[in-house]
Amino acid sequence: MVVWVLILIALILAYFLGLVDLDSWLKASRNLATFVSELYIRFDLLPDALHAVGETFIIALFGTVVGALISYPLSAISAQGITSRWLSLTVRTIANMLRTVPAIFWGILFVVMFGPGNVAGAVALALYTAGYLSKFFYETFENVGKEHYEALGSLALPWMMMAKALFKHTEKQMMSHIMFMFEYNLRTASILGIVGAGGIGYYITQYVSILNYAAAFTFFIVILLFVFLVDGVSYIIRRRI
Amino acid sequence: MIVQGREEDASVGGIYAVETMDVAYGYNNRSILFDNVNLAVERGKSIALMGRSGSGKSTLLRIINGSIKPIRGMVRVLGVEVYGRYSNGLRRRVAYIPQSLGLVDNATVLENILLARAADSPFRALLGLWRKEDVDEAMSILKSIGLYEKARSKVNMLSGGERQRVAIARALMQGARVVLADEPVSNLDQDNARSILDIFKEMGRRNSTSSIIVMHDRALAEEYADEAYMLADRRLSRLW
Repeated sequence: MVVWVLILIALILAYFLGLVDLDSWLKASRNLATFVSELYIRFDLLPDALHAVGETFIIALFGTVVGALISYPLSAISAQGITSRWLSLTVRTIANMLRTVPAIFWGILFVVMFGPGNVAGAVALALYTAGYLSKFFYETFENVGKEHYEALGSLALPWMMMAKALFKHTEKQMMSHIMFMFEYNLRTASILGIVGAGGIGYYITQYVSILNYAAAFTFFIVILLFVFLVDGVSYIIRRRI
Repeated sequence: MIVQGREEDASVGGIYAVETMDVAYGYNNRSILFDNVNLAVERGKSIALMGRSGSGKSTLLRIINGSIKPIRGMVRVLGVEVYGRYSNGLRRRVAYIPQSLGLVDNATVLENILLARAADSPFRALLGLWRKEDVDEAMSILKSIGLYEKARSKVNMLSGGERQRVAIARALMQGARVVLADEPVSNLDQDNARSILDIFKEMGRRNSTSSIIVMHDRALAEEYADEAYMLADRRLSRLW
């Protein structure tokens, strides 16, 4: 019964969206055929594509490194049991806010501030990463266990020292989180160019807008292979940590 | 064995290092874990706290440590009444060694022990710039408990007995007057267990450090503890 209701709703909505129009489907099919026929690698553009991948890599790396640096104090203050409850809650709220706003919106903001280019993308990713890693880090701290906190607490450590001890204790998990975030940022940096925030996405968007699908496809394949490569290397490193 | 540690005035706060009076703990008034717990631990004495799993031994230790509040009763540590959290001054006089030991896993033995002095100069500690006199003292403590050669090893590379010694060494470095140890010898063979209990005994003799040790092995307790208590049926009773 539920399935029939869902089918009915889908059909009604498809009608209002114009999806039941046969002409539009035929036109879409022709466009797809044209698009696919133009998908080939333009080897003359490989140097440019590699340069764009380099830019994307730097944006992702900067975002990850600076975001991790920001998230160290944020997570130390956010974790329960290190600082006062109200301070922890306040900083946790700020970190949540950084994380809740999608990276692409941060990208738009920084394009407005700095103009289009890599700077906007790098700063946007740093903020977004700070929000995400703060959460990963403080959750890792909180999983350490009460007894551990109490034992370290009996040394009357100032909060910064307590945080340092916990970072050291959970070093491997922290590194794993940072590696994961770098992989994620590499993908995100690839699409930030859609809003003008640099990286390979910017070039792909430009080529698509002038209907140069072969060039866009070349850039797309290069970044795809690079992401696979980074994923593989990161996986090996994380296994060894 | 000569155990190094801070020499301090042991007379502050009277003859008892730890006193509990009519202490009760429960998750609510209907489910009482224990009640009317009265304990008086003299300075320099080693106390064995025994009882079945779930009888509340660890909880009693955590109450004395100020980690949790009792629902009734009074706890006095080194002459100071404790209502939950300790003041910082008292805090450093009481070392708590949980079953997990509370060591910093990826740090070296020496770094773990030096943590006990981090509160003295936090910014130096944060940068890892320890004072020479602190490093010398830590090395001297390590020598006294047979871990000198392992000073630069990471604690997660050590055996269970060695890790236990590091936790005790940190308590010594802390200058603790009271050590609360939760099952420090449960997972060790007899030789290792004896050498750990020797250290507690020596701390009592040399530094007047009192220790409350949760343990299960009655024979070992008879051999090492000055007094022993059993926590059973919600009551604490003295065995000897």
